[in-house]
Amino acid sequence: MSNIAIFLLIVLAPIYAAFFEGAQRVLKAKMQRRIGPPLMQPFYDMYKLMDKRALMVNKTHTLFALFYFFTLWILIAFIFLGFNLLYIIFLHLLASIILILAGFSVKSIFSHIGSNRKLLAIVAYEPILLLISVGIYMVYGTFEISVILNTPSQFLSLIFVYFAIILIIPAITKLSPFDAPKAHQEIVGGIEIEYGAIFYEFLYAAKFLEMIFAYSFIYILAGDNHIFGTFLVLFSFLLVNLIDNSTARIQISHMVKVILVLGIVLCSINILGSLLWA
Amino acid sequence: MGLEKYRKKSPWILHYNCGSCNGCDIEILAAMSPKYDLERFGILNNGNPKQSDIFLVTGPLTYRSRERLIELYTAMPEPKVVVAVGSCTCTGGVFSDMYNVENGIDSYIPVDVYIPGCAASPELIIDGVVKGLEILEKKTKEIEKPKKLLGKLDEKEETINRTRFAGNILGKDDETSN
Amino acid sequence: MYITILYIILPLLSSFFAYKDNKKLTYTFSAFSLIVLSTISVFHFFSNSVYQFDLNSFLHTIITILDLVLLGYFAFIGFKAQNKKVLFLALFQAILFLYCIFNVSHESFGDLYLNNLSFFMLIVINLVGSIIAIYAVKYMEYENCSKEKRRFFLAYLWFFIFIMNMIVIANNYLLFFFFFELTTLSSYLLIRFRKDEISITNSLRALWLNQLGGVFILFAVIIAILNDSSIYFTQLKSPEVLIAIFLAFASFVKGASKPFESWLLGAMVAPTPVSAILHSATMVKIAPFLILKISYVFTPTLSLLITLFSMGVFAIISLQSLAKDNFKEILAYSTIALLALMVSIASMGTQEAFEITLYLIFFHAVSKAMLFMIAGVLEKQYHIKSIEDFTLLFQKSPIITSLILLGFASVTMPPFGLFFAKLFSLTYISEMIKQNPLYLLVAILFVVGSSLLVLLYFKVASKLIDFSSTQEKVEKQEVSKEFVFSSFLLFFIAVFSLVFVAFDSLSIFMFTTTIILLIVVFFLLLKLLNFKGIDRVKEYSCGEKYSHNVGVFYYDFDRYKTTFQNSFIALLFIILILGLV
Repeated sequence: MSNIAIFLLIVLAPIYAAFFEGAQRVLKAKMQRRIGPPLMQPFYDMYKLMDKRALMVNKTHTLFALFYFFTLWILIAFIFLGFNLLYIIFLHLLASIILILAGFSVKSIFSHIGSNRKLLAIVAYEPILLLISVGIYMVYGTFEISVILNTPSQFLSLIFVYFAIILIIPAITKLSPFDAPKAHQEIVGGIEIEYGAIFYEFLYAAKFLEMIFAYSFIYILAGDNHIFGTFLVLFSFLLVNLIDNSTARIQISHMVKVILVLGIVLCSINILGSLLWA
Repeated sequence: MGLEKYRKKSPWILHYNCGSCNGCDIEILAAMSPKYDLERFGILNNGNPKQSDIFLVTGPLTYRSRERLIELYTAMPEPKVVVAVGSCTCTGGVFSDMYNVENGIDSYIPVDVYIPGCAASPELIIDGVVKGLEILEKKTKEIEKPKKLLGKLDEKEETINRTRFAGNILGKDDETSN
Repeated sequence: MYITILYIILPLLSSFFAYKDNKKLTYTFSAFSLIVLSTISVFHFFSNSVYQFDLNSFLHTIITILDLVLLGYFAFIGFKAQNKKVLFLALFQAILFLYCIFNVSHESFGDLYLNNLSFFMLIVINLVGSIIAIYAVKYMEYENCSKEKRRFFLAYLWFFIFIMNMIVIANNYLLFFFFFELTTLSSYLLIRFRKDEISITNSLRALWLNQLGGVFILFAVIIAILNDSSIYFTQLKSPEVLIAIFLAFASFVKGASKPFESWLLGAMVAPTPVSAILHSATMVKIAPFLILKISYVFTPTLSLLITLFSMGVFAIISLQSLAKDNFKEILAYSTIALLALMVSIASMGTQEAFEITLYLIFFHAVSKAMLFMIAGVLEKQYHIKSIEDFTLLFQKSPIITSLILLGFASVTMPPFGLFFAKLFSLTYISEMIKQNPLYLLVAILFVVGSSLLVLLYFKVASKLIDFSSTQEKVEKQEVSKEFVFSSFLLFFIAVFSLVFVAFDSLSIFMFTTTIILLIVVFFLLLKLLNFKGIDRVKEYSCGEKYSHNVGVFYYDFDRYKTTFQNSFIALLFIILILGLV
């Protein structure tokens, strides 16, 4: 990939990611047999939010949201530059912690509950993300994304890791059944509750960037077969939305147990299997 | 800026029930179901006043819900539109002049669209919301005051203080409700 | 030869001047000792020098006599306090010790041995320990005790640094045992400093549990005598696994691994400089230090067993810490967990594991010392011991809150050193999985444990940045500059030492600098940016007119406590039996 292409991919990340989110809403609507919003809806949302009267609760709360967005953007930059997978996971952890601190920094009960649930979600999916990287390392022999994307594809030996990633994508991108931290109407959005107008736009755009982060794991699984990687991403997108539309939200305590147990079992099967058939 | 035209492309609603019999609420929820599909206009029901543009109110205003109505109304950032759904919200409906209702919300907050009906049908609701969107386009970002606040109200105040509970405009803590 | 004398003389001189209660001289000598000893240690560490000396037989006799006096004193303490465990263990140790003295072979292979591991530990002890001893001078001004006791305390801290200097250069098991017992004595004396009932109980518990460690070392010596092996660390050869097992058990005791962790948790009633210097930064680091010294003789099975055992401790302790609400106790739990992580990595025995453990030891010592010193400031100036009292701390003192948040971040997040150490450990464990699939279990326990630690820290952080609702005003409470100076110094050292980690490759360097830039810009904007002209609003409470106070969430696993203890005792026996295979 030429440098100009990578640079454009990084700088325009919120923009094309918005189309991803728009496509998700259209897909959800179509699955529910209705028309749904136009594809450009996230842009209309953004313009509308920019046109509202700005409001904020306190300085720290707002700054944390801004920094959450920028850390995620830097994370996307590192992904496209092909850094070490483990650094990227820990940088994502830093970004999530910034969001959690944002949720704790106002005296709003829903915000606190949302932050606490997000902390528990981190306890649930962070170990699985790390084990997924170990699984990828077992098969591809390296943690560096740039090297993996140039290695011949060995997707079939990573099939269980693929299922583990599908398991945790709803937790990262806040979809059913693992969207207890966001829980629209149950805790009114959790951490997002005290944000309005332009500052909410940053959280809204950060959601797209998290989607890029989550789906990039699937893209990496395909190695140097980029066409297959793209196909896999689209297929997973469909699958995750199907799961979203057909399951109900589960409690946060069950979520931790389910993700940890299933994820560890799936990753262990893959890692041990890759050792036996090495 | 030319951003006003985007206000009507992505209106987010806040739905509040001021003591209604739930008939109009069911119709609003039906309007969001696949048959009538409000989401094709970009409408989302977020339940969070800080992120909403349209305030859909049902129910004649019972005494208990007056304060919450004003709290929610003052928490919404401008520009905003209030849509009174159902005849109870407009004039009191079947409950008018009863001992515990205030005969509609328009003595407390400025209403932009009145949707009649008992219960208002989804088509009427969609028509009303679309009319509200046209009004939304023309609004400014100046703070809109509610007409009546509870507690000690100082008429000389030009604007409301959003860091306090509405109705405690002079900063004194009143006993709540009733 | 002469540098060894410096390591002995300078701390003892500082101790003497601290006892004389002359503030100016104390500060001067402390700073002098800090700078000189740290610089020498750094220089020798990077030049990879090795020194080896003998002690003449007169000194040997003196040390033996002092050792017996020490054991007699322990027995006396047990007798006076009517504590059977202390008394029995002291007498048992005395018997074993006498047997060793009369049966040990008298060939000498260098009683004092300084290699790069010793110099590294000397850096940690002299740098972090001296800073804490300097901090303690200010701390003790607030402490409610007589002048005599104050002088004794400050002098004893420097004496303790001397003990630590000696223990990391001792090459002879019996010399090591002597200084080990001296550290046990230091623990006992300093924990019971405040002389209230809970201090006395906890100090006795620390005494008998640490004596168990001494018993394990003596077992190792007796086995060496019975097998006709040498009692020198440098002479430890591959078939002598049983000696290594008992030394490893001694390190489990000193590092407060399960099932021995209760002494460290109880030690938190001591004044904070004690918690900082003994129970987080220096004394408990003897555990990974000892493992590093002997890990090259571990059989692959033993190595895997100890790694698994310690990683299990890491995960389970992190789980158990989620129910606690005393700030120092939470720090103690995380210390135990990270020590278990260090022991676990150290026991893998290779050069790469060695380097990773060194990173872990250094960055953990710096971060934990900083956090404990802040805990001391909170205790003395704000009278806060429990995290439930952290409300509004951000507005009372933004400096303290930022330091605590940065302290927590420095244990778990990029760009700080401990994060890199954890990253390298995970990379290394993944490599080891290729050789032995059982390392997968180690990896699973590692990732679960580190996520639980993140949960623990940021659950506490929730109370830290608990802002007042927009309707109350809080005034700032200034904290005295001298008190926080040492914390700033340690934080600066933590960031500066990243240089040694970050210059490895371009990507690490870019990564570290970007994140440091991010943090710096955040704090700058927090101070300077004002968001003028934007409305301030209050929080959403569903229209209700009540403001809410939100508490911290706790997760209680206490009903599994005995199960955990028993399983870990059983695991110790399994290590003993299977490790010989």
